[in-house]
Amino acid sequence: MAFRTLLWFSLFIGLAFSAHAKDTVAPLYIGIDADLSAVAAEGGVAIQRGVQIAVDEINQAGGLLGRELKIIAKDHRGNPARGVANLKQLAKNNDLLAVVGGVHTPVVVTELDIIHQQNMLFLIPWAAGTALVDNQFSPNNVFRVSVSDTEAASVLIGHARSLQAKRVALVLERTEWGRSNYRSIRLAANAQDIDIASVHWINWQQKSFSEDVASIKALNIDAVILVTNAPEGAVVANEFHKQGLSKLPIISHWGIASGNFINLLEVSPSTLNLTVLQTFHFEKQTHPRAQHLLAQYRQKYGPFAANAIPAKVGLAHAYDLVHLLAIATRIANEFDVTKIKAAMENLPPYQGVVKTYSPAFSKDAHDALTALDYFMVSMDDNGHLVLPDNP
Amino acid sequence: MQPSSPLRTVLIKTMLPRLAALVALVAIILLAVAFYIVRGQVAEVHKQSLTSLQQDLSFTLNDTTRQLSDLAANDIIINALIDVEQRKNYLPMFFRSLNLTHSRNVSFALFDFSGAIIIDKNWHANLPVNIVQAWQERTLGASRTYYSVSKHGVLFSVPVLLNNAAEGALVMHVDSLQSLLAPYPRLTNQVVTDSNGVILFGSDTALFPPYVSLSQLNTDGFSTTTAQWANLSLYSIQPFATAYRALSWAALVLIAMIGGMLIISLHIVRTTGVLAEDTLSRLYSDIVNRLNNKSFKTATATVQEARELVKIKAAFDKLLSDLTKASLSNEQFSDVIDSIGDLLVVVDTSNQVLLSNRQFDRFSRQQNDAVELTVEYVVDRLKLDTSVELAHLSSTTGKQRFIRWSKTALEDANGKVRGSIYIGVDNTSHRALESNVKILSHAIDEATVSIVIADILRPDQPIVYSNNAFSRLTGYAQEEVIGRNCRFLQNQQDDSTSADKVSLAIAQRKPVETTMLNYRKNGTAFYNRLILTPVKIEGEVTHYIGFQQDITQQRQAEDYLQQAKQKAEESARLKSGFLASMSHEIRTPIHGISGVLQLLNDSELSSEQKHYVSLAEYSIEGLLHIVNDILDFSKIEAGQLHIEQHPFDILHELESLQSQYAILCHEKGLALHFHFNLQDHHVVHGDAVRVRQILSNLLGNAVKFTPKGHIDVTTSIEQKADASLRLTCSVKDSGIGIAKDKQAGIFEVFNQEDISTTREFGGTGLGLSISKQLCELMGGSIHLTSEKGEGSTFTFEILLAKGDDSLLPPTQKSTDGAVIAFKKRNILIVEDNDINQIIVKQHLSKHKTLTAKSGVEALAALNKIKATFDVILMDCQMPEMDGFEATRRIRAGEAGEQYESIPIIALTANAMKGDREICRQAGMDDYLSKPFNAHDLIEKVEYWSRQKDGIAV
Repeated sequence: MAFRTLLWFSLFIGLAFSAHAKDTVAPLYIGIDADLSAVAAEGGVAIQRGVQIAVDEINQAGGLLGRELKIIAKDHRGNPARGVANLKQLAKNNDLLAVVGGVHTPVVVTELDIIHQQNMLFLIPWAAGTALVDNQFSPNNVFRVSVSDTEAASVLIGHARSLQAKRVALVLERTEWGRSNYRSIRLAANAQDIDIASVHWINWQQKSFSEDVASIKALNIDAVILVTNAPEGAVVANEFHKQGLSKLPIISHWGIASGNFINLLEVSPSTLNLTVLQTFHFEKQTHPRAQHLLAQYRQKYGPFAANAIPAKVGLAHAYDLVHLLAIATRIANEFDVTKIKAAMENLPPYQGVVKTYSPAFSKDAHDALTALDYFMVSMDDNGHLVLPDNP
Repeated sequence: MQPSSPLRTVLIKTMLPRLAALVALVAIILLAVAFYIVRGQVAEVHKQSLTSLQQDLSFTLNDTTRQLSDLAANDIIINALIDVEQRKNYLPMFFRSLNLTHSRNVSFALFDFSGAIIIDKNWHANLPVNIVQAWQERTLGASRTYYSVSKHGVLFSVPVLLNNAAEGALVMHVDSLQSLLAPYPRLTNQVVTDSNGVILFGSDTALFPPYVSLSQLNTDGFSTTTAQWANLSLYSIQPFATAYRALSWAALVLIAMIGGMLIISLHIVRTTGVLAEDTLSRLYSDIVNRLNNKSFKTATATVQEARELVKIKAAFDKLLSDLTKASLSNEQFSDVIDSIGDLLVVVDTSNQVLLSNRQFDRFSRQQNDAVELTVEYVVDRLKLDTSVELAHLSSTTGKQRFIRWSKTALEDANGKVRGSIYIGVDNTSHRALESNVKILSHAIDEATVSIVIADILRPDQPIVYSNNAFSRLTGYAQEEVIGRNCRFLQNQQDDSTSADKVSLAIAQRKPVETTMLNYRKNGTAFYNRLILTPVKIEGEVTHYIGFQQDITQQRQAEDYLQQAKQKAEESARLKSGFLASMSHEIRTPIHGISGVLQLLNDSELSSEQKHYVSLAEYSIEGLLHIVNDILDFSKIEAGQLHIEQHPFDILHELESLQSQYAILCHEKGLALHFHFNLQDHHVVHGDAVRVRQILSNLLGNAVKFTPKGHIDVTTSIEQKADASLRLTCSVKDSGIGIAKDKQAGIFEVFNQEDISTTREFGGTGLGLSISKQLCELMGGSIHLTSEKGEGSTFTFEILLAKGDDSLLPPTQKSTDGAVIAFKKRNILIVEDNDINQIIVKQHLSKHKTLTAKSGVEALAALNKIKATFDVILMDCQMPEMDGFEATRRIRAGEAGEQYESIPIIALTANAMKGDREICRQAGMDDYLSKPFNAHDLIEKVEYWSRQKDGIAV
């Protein structure tokens, strides 16, 4: 109750300030550093929309610390070098509150140095690499409302088990994200007594995967665990189909949900036996907060069917993250990254879209979600992710 | 006699040079043809060589670029850009294996999107900034491939693409073009240089070492062809010796052939000569023998003789015999008399022709085809005289010829008369000449132009001829003039410029034309227009012919016209000046009165006083109308009225007029109807003020002259073939009408139907005249149909241009309708006239105002007074510093930065065209012409204040 009162109180203060402060006080900025145009543009755009809806709500309620919130969006196209350049530029802005990252683990890994060097507050709504949050920096400036690969591995392997699979093959992208999953899936497989029959690495933009699929076929395995983005995921799935392995269960990490997977796929998803890891779905999270987000989204971006909204997880994570940031800022009651960071680690319980965070973070846990929050979905022939018929 | 040479020597001497020349000519032609062909072949070889070099270059560069692009598309490279942590484990190995060309001096580098090196192989290229910028712009910026060939080597860059945009670049550098192009045998020496001529590639590096400027090398003795490819120059070079080797062989063969031919020819000539010599020698000895009556039979008879020789011998024999019989024949005599140019005929005593020469025969034929008739005619006429000139009319040609005939007796050796000799000399051309001279002489004598001829070779250049016209002009008879110099016509005291001009021209033998003052014999002066022309006889100017003309009257007329023109121009200037001053001087007091009346009207008055004030206001309005009419009319008269061309909404204008006159008509109990047919041309280009003035005039008249009934205004627009618009507008009333006999003059100045009309209805009588002029200025016309007592219809047409909505200036909406909170403004009034100052101040009494009397005071006020002004009202003409200058200074920031864009509204009494433009040019925002009314002033101030506040209006 005490927290809620405080919340209302800060909201009221914000409103009172904003009436005349808006014109004179410089705005606060939230940076977005995501892939908005290349391989995971859907994910990037969903994140941007989540941030935008949250920021608009905060501004309508009077802004933050009496200052208007504004967004600076930067496109890193999945290229770590661009990501670092974007952050360098954002760091020059003295009114930068925080930066919301994008889909790609390799980009964030490369950015960790500059994030801490410049003491930037970095919020992750998607990139799942374990080492992004469990980094060697102290104090740690990275907070995540998203999947963590360590937790994801147990869910993916658990799903394989539920399919009665004994022997699985791994297909991983040859980046830090792929390696992060390799490490955690191996541990999870060991723990759950699943045999990893073979490991296959695929390069970004690799166009042929026929030899690897041929060797997978020869091994006669039970399922494949896929850790790639949309373009490479499509190459792999197309090749399985081509070599007559359509029925082989493909258990995919959520990388393929960040890009335009369906357009690259040469077969209809129903022909395949494909499941995808998710944390949020409008049919799964049906509470009023989620309904409210859906309504806001439709009002701003058009009358989408709930299932047709692309990369929903990015939308929901980013939306929740920005609201959590706003609460922390109001608690800090000062535009001071260190103080806001401390407030992030001591947030009151908050009912978000993905779940009720109670609380979201602590000093040692900068990951807001756990394996309990993850679930597997399948894909309909429109490329929309849908809950399985028999959950 | 010189010792003669034998025939063969003569033959050889004459033939050898010709033969040699001919052979040489043929040789030269053959050599030229051979050179031409060989040159063509050489050019073809060069062309092939250049084409193959270009293909080689193009293929090498494009193929290398393609291979590099293939490499860049390799997923290992793309993955390496993303996988920053682990790429060191596989990228170096991949890079070590890179090789695209046979050249050893190749380096590779992978750059990230910002142009920083990620990994390289041998990368030590020290490239200039422009090449680095070029590849980065092209490849990293535009995601396109790029190559550059220069003295810094050959650089290829290809983008590493992710979703079609460059995220990095793979760059390859070869240290020189020389090492890139394959060393294989080439048709000619091939050289590639950059645009500065520095060698980048030479197929023979010993001759053309790289990095040397081609122009520094000695290329004498080389045949060179060049072509441009991209920014490179390609050369095909071949030593002349190699290129033209074939030609030198051809020349040697030709020389040998010529030598051989000459020797053969010499031999033939010599042999022929010997043969001819023998034959002729024999002929000679035969003739000598014959002449000496020796025996024909000689030892040579046994020798076979040429057929020609035998014939010559026979002919010679015959000739010899004929010669003996022959004597001088009559033919010679005949030839002599035929050669005489004159006509000659000899007759015997009975007048029978004994002899006639060829000339006579021809003459007779031309006359009548019969010698006898001519002879008969001549003999008949010369019975008495020995010499007479006869006219002969030819019956065939119709021409008359004059022949002088003389008769001589023909006597034989014994002195006995055997007949007569007639000799005729043709005088026809001589006669024609005489006749010509006579005509010319008469013509000049009788010419109406005064003509004199002076001999300029004689001392004092006397007159040698004067005609009758000269005597009539000057009063001097011919004999008084001949032998005297023309000077006697002049007076020594007069200006000698013209006389000097004439003397100079004569000295230079040039024609001259001048006007000078001359005197007649009776002493009266006249202006003489004198034209002197030199007369050339056999290339030398001997005489001058002079033509005189009395132009005294013409001179006087010119002087008179000149004076009249000056007077007229002076008068026009005075009129323009008067116009300008009248415009300003009359409007200023009217404005004063009008303003004071408005103020008075706003004060507390009894109803009677209010009535008097409204009467006075009505009178002022009438006065202003009359002044405007007179001003317009004067402007038209002075040609100063110009039609403006602005876009305006014709429908809007018509509707505003309708609402204006609807009140008047309603008061008078008249029905007013407007009919439109605008064909969607609402916005047009033209002079809205003048269109409104014409229609206003007609409507005013209609209301004035219609006691009851209705007024109909019909407006239509039609598009003409040339896309311009014709506006036709007619105003029809049911008024008193105009009698037929008065209609013709109704559009003339100061003309109402009759004087009684003026008394009854008032008005200046200028309105219709001005309307007519305005219509004509707008390319149209106005006309009237009317019946006395049945009403009138005035119809006018004008031309307009098409316009559209986008051209319209944003309208200044009045504040009525939308309720806008009144805001007190700070206004600076700059005005030197006290009365006007008071009036404006009073009108704006709801606002805070401050006054300044000149531009200087205004600037001081803006700089010193703390309050911020919202608007400035600026009179244009003021002492010390006028409104234009003050505005320019304010705009330039002299009154502080805050006032640089303050709204400034001009107040001016000048109503002449161009004032608005001058105000705008000076930087003023708007314009109010005096006299203005309070409403307009307040509205403008409100509009511009709100413009300044940035509120949309």
